[in-house]
Amino acid sequence: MNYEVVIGLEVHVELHTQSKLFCACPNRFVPEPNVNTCPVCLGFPGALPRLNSEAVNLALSASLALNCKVASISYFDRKNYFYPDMPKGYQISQFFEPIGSNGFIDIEDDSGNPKRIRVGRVHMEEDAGKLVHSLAGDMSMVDYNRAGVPLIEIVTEPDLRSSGEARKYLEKLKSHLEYVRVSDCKMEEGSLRCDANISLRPKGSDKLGSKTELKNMNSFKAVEKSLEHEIKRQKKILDAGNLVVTQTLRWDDNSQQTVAMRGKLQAHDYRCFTDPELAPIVLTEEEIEKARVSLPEMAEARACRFVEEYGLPDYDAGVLTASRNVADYFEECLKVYNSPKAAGNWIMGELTAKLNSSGQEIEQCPFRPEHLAELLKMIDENVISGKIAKDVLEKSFESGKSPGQVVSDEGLLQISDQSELETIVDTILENNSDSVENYRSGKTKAIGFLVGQVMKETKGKANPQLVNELLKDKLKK
Amino acid sequence: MNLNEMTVVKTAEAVNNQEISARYLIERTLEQIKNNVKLNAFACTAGAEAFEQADAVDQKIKSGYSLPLAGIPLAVGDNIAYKELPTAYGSAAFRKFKPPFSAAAVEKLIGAGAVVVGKINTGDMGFSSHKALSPAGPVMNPWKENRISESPGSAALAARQCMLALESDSEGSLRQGASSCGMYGFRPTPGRVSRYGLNLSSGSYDQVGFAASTATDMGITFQATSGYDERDILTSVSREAGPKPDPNKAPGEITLAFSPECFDQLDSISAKHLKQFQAKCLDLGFKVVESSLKLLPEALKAFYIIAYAEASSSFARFDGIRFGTAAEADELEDLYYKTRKLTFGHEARRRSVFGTYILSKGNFEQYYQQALKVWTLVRQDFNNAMANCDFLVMPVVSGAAPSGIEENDFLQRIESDIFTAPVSMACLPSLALPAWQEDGLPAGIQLVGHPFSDEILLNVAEMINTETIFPDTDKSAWEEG
Ligand SMILES: [Zn+2]
Repeated sequence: MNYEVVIGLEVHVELHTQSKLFCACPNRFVPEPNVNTCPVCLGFPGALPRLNSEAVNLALSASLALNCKVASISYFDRKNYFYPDMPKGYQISQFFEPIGSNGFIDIEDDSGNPKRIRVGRVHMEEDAGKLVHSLAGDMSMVDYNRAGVPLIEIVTEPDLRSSGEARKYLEKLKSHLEYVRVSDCKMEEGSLRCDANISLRPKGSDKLGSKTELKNMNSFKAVEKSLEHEIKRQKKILDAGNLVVTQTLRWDDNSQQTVAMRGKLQAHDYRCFTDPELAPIVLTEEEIEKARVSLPEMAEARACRFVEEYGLPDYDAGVLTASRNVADYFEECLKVYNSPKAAGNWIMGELTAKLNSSGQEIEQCPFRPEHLAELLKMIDENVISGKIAKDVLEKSFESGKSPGQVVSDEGLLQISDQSELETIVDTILENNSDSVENYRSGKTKAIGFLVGQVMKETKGKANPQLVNELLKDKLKK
Repeated sequence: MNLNEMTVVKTAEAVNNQEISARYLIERTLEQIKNNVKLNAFACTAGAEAFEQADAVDQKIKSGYSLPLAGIPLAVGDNIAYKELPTAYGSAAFRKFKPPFSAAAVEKLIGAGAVVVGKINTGDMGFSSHKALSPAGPVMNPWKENRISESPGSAALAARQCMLALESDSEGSLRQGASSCGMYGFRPTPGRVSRYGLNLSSGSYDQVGFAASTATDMGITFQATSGYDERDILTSVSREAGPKPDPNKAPGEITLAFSPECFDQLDSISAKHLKQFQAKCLDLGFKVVESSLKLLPEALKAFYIIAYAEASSSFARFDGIRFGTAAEADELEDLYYKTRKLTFGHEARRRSVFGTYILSKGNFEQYYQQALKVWTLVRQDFNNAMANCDFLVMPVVSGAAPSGIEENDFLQRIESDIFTAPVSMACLPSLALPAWQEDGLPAGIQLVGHPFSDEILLNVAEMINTETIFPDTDKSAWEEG
């Protein structure tokens, strides 16, 4: 039978704040357990929560970036359940009235047509701690460093129809959240976590089939793969005339399959009610509007502008705007250098390669946009050759020195002095009479070899254009 | 100097003038606690740390400082954090637990010169001894054998085992205990005094309050503790102080309202006394009017539904994993069962079970959400009742100090909160002050004010100026002074 796949995603994103949601403990990863804790985030009797306004601002920006309607008044509720990683025996979350609702993200479906994915809600909540099990398996310990870290949960309507769409949605979501500087959205590091609800139904039916929930996927690739795997599994069950059992499955990266989660199957009654220890979040029309106008230009708009304003090819514009930091770097460079295409090429090529190999982020690397501009100007003005420029970038990146400094320190100035080059060219012609003969007998390719020899002699510093001209001139004689 | 019936004001003055030392006061107080241990008011008493504090106060005064509560022996509720002494929450699992911080009000009182002489024996999880027993049993009433005090601080105060007590008030135990011990018990407007450090069972209703022996003492205590505290967001309403009382205001410019529905809820003897008190107010020159409070019975039910629901959630943190004594168990679920059984007495268990039921699917709409609606109506009811007066004068309880607790009549015990719990719900400041005696037992009335009228309320209480009487005790460590 032909089935339609129905997928909904629940994404948890860690908000990039200085401190935790309800206390002053730092929101930062540390390897030592229970260092970033205090009576509030450990749930001590008598310690009271205090809302972090930075977290509210980020949640507000995220809601607006996802085109949500922002609630002028929203509440914090207690979601009650026992687990050792949950210090108070309840999680503070927004159950009844989320800060954001009825938003959307536009993606392309598998055939490249535009498609709108509805975002049902964006709500704030606190993270739990982490259970650590001893190697011998005889002990469980709890690390509360993460307890109370601010999260937003972003829930889609069941609008996704394939694993590919799910992946595209996640990529778009990540880009949006990075652009508003809400989170670094690193799935591998847990700052973005994704659960998926998936069911199949006969094509044309509008009744939802019984669904399974997928957890423990630690990359976008894993989300896509586990969904594909689950689609096949459910199809097989349905084809055999059986019913899919509603359950929670865990993606196992090693065996590349979904495994049923152990533990009792129980329907939770979280007994939610509004937390009497916290005041509601009240946002005035002006505050919401102020946040809306201060939203940055998002990736799509920026890419369009790059094409129009800088004449970049669509592809380049797409790559350069995928991350806000890269796009900012690019435009920063263009403030003092006016060849967008060259700047883009160097960022996408040499700089990206260098960043990847050194494991650094563009916003932190010592090679600043003004350095790139300086480097590109030196090429344009024939101060150094393109080849040398690559070495200069490398050295500048390593040392933090400006490219000009590197060139003068290392004596890499391009030789553009005609008489100096003529002497060298003459010597090369004398020593390579075979090639000279070849050239003169019509094998014009031989000039390449001669240029190479000159470059070798000058350690790459000779102005290649001038060398070419000189050679051609002398070979004619 | 006979310190037997000294007030906080007079005592602090004597300490500030170096007529007596803080150390001496603490010695006498600790002896007085020993003299009457069968009162059972203290869960634990202070030792060396109290003398250190007292010496520090004496030292400060010698170097020229003057402190509003210099050397005043202070008793602190066992559900309020004080890092120098075990804070047991009336629970066997916390007998040796020292919290990592002290409550904001404790810090402020110590800063004003008070010295903590011990933790008072609150019931299970800090509930009234009237409803809940700590492992140490009930706190007795110093006025009469076999009677208890709903507020251990008031019992200690009446027995002169402290001069000031810091306690919590939710459904009204502080005011009730003050009333049945003949003392003053004050529940300030929510947000005026920081709750940081109070183990909250109900975030909606629990407040910190004080027991003292005069209205003036209450006034300086309130002044020393009220104000904004960044650790309790509720106090952001207190960034500015409440309206100041006008010292020239005569009783004739103040309107007190009595509610006919309150009389209906009282037994005949209490009703008779309240009528006499009303006449006394007229004699003093106050304007007296009638104001109707229509929703007291409904308020009481809604109060308990919400308080139970919140308690069931607030107590979930007592899981034996981060603090307190954890039970031996092999399985996680077993750990929860056993630890919580060890931690909670009957009342906390009752609230956990009822609260869980109230919040469960299906019941939530029927009970909890209905109760929230009633809450709104109750606030309106009080608003209306207070529209034509400055203060409401209400009973605290019907009848006198209750006798010892029996586990099976908790519904009846809830009914005794009909005058106090609705006032807590309405978020109004309320002071219990001594009003009459019947059959050797004192009883009080509550003076209920508009929100944030705390200072004026305490000032009017001074104008009413009822005499504080202490019960006779066999032996007093104070008379030797
Ligand atoms: Zn913390």
